[in-house]
Amino acid sequence: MESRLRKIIVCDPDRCNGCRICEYVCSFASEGVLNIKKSRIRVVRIEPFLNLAVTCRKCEDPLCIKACPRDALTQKPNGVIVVDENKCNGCGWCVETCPFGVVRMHLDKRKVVVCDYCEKHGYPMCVEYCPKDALKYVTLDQAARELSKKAVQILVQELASR
Amino acid sequence: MKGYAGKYLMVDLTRGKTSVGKIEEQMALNYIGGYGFGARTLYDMLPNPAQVDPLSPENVLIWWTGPLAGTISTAGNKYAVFAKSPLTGIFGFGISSGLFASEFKSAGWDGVVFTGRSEKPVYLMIDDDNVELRNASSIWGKTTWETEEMIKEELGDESFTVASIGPAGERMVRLANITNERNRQVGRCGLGAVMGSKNLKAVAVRGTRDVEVADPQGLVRFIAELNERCQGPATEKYRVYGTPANILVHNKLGCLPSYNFQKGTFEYAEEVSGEMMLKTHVKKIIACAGCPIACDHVNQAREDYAGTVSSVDYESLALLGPNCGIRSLDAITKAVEICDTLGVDTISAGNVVGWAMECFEKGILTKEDTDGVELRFGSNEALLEALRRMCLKEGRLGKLLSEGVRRASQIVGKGSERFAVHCKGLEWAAYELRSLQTSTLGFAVSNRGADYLRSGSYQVDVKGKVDRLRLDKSRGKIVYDGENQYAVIDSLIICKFTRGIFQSMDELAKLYTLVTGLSMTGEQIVRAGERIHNVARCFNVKCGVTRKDDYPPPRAFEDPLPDDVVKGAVIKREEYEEALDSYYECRGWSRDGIPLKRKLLELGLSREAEEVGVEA
Amino acid sequence: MNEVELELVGRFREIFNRRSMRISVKPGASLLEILEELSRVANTDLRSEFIGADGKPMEESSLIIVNGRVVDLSRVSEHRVNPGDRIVLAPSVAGGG
Repeated sequence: MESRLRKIIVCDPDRCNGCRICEYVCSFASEGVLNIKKSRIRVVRIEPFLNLAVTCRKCEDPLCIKACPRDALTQKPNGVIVVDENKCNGCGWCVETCPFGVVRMHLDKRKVVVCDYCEKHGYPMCVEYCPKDALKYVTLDQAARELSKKAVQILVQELASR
Repeated sequence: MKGYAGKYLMVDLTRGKTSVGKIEEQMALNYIGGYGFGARTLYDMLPNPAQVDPLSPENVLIWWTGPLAGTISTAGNKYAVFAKSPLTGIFGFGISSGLFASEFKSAGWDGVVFTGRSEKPVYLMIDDDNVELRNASSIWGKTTWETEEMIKEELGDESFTVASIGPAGERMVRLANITNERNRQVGRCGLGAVMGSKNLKAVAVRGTRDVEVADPQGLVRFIAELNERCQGPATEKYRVYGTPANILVHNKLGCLPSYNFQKGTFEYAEEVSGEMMLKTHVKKIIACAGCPIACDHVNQAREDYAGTVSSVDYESLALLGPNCGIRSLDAITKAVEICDTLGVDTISAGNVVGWAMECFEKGILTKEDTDGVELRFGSNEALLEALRRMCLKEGRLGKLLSEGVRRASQIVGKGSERFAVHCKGLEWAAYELRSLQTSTLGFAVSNRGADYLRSGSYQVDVKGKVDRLRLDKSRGKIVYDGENQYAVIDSLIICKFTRGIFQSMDELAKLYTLVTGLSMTGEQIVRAGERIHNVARCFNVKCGVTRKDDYPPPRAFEDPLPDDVVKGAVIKREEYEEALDSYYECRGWSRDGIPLKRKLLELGLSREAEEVGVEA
Repeated sequence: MNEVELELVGRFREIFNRRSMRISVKPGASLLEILEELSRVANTDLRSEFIGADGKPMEESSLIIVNGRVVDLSRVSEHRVNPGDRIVLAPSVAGGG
C-alpha cells in the first residue's frame, strides 16, 4: 500500500532553466547554510539547452542500500533513504552505485547524505521554491498521467490546425 | 559582518605572486561592493590615471562581487570588472552574471586585484583557499567557449566556473570583452583587452564554503516574497519575449537605431522582432544562478548558418540587426556567436560596423580600405566578415574596426567623425539619440561613456512623464536620482530586472541588512550611491573629462530624424545646455562638470576634494 | 467614421490574436473607456496591464502610445481619443544586453 502512494520529486526539462534556486534552498532547508555544494538536489546543465534537477527517486529496490558494505543505509516505508552515521565510514561505494548520482559525500562530515524529502519541514522545500513549477512532488502515476494529458493536448491542437 | 567574504586576492602578474587583503566594515558601509568597491580601489590604485597606458603593465584590473553574491538573494549573483579602459581612456567597468559570482564568494573571496603583466600566458585558478597562476599556453588562441571546456578538463572538475577572453582580447582589440558560462559577458569598455595585455587568459573558480549571512531565516523569508513578486506582471516582459520585445516598441516610437542611427525606424522590424524571434528562433530560455525571472533567450539559427546557437538580447539584436540594416535573425544569431566566442562586445561591434557601412555607402571607405568586403547595409556576409576580421584584427578593415568607432573615425577622417555615434569613446547603445532626449542626457553624462545602465533615464521618456522630444531643466534631477539609485544596484550587485519588484530603496537597504547584519536605511544607501558616483567622476576628471565630454555626438544635434512618427526630432543645443546645467547643479558640480570641494567633503571624500574638487 | 487604428505589440498580440485592428469609438471617449471596452471584447482585464491595484501606473506598466506620443498612464481616464487616432498597446521598455 505504501509504495503505491510513494511520492517523489520530478523535474520537467521544458520548465527547468537551471536557476539553481532549488540548490540554495535545499542547503538551507537541510543544513541551515547557504552553499549549493551541500544541496541534495542537483541541477544538471548540459549546454546549450538542457537543464534538469535530479534528486533521490526512492527506488523500489535501492542499489545504494545493496551496495553499502556496512549496512549503513536503510529505506523507510515512505521510501526515504536513511543514513546511519554511526555505521557510515565514508567509503563512497553508494555514491558510485546510485545511477542518478544523487547520493553525495558531505563536504564536512565525510559521510554520505541523500535527500530526505525535507521530513522536518513536512514538504520538499525545493518544490515549494521552484519559481517555474518545474519541480513537482507527485506519485509516478500522477507524473505519467500529466505527460499523457500534455501529449494528447498537443496532438489535438495539431490535428485541429490541419 | 556577514555576506562579504571579508578578504580579497592581490595578484602580482609580473612576479607571479599572490597575497591577501582585508575588507573593513567602513569600506562596506561607505561603498557597499561591486561598483562602489571598484570606484574606490581604481581611484586609489591609479592616482595619476592620465599617465597610464591602459594596455601597459601599469594598468590595474580589478574584479569585485557584492555582499549578495552566493547568498540566496533574488537575482543577486553578479560580478564587476574595473580598469582604465583602452577604448575610452577613462573609468572602465562592466558587470556580468551567471554562476561565477556565487562560486567566487563561496570560495571565500570578495574580489581580486591584478597588477603588472605576466611574462607568459596564464590563467588564475581559485579553489577555495588554494590559488594558483597556471600555464595558459595550451588555451591561448582558443575561443571563450573552448577555453571553458578545456580548463574544466585540465582541472578534472566541471564544477569549476570560468570567465575568459577570446582571441580578440589576446590581440588587445579595444572592444574585447570577457565571457563566462558561454552566454554571459562583461561586455563594455574593452576590459578583455586589458586582460590580454596582461597575458591573463581566464579566471577559473570553484567554491565549496558556506556563505554566511546575518539573518538567514529573515533573508529566506524575504526572498520567498520577492521571488513571488517576480512571477507577476512587473517581469512578464523579460520572462516571455525577453528584452528583444523592445524592437517593435522602439520601432513604434521611432527610437530604434537603424542604418547607423540615421533613422529611428526599420522597415523590416517585424522580421527581427522579439515576437518573431520567440516564434522561430528561441530554443530555450535559461536563468542565471539564483534568478526567479529567467530572461536569457537562446537562439538556434534555422536555414543560413543552421545549427548556430547564441544568446540574443535586445542590444545585440538591434545593433547587429537594424543598425546594420540586417533583416535576418539567422545572420544576427551567427553574428552574436562570433562576438561571444571570439570575444568582442556586441554593442560596440554593431555600432562600429554600422558606422563603417555608412562610410562605405558614402564612398569614404573604398573596397581597398575594406580588403574587398562589400560593406553595405543589409549585407549578412559583410556583417559577419567584418566582425570576424575585427575580432582577429585581420587586414586593414579588421585593424580599423578593432580600434572602436571614435579612433576609427579619427583615423579615417573625411567627415566620418560627424557620424561616429559615441560618447567619450564608448559606442552608443540601442536607444535613439533624438527621440528619447532624457535618455540621451543620461548617456552623455554616464561615468563610463555612452551608457544608460548607470541611470536608466530612458524610463521617463517611455512613460510619457516628460516630452521625450525636448529637454528642459527638470531632466537633470531625473538623471541624478536615477544614477544614485543605480549605483546602489550596481554595488549590491542585483539585477536591474528586479527594479519593478522592489517598492523602495528602503527594501534594498533591508536586503542589505538581512545579508550583512550592518544597519542601513534607504536614505543611507542612496547616499552611498551618490558617493560612489562621485568617486568615479573624480577618476574621470583626473583623466581629463570635463563638460566638453558630456555631450551626445554631432548626429544628435545636426541630423533631424526623418521617420514620420518623430519627424524632425533633433536635440536643440540651448535646451541641452540648460538640461546639462541643471544636472550639474543637482550634482553639486561646477558649470564645467567638476565636483565642488564642498560636495565631496559632504560625502566624506576628503582626498578627492583635495585632488580634484574645485571651489564654487 | 468614428474609428481608431489599434496596433498591438508583444503580449497584446497574444491577447487579441492579431497585430492590428480597427475599432469604433464614441467621440470624446477616454482611453480608460476604450480599455474597458477592449477588455470586454478580449474577455480579459486589460486595465491591470497599465494600472495597479492602487489606481497608479506600475513601475513596469505596459505602454499606450497615441499618435507617436506615450500616454502618461496616471491620466488614462482624462485622455480623450479622437477618430483617426493611432493607438499602440505595447509592453514596457527595458534593457538590455
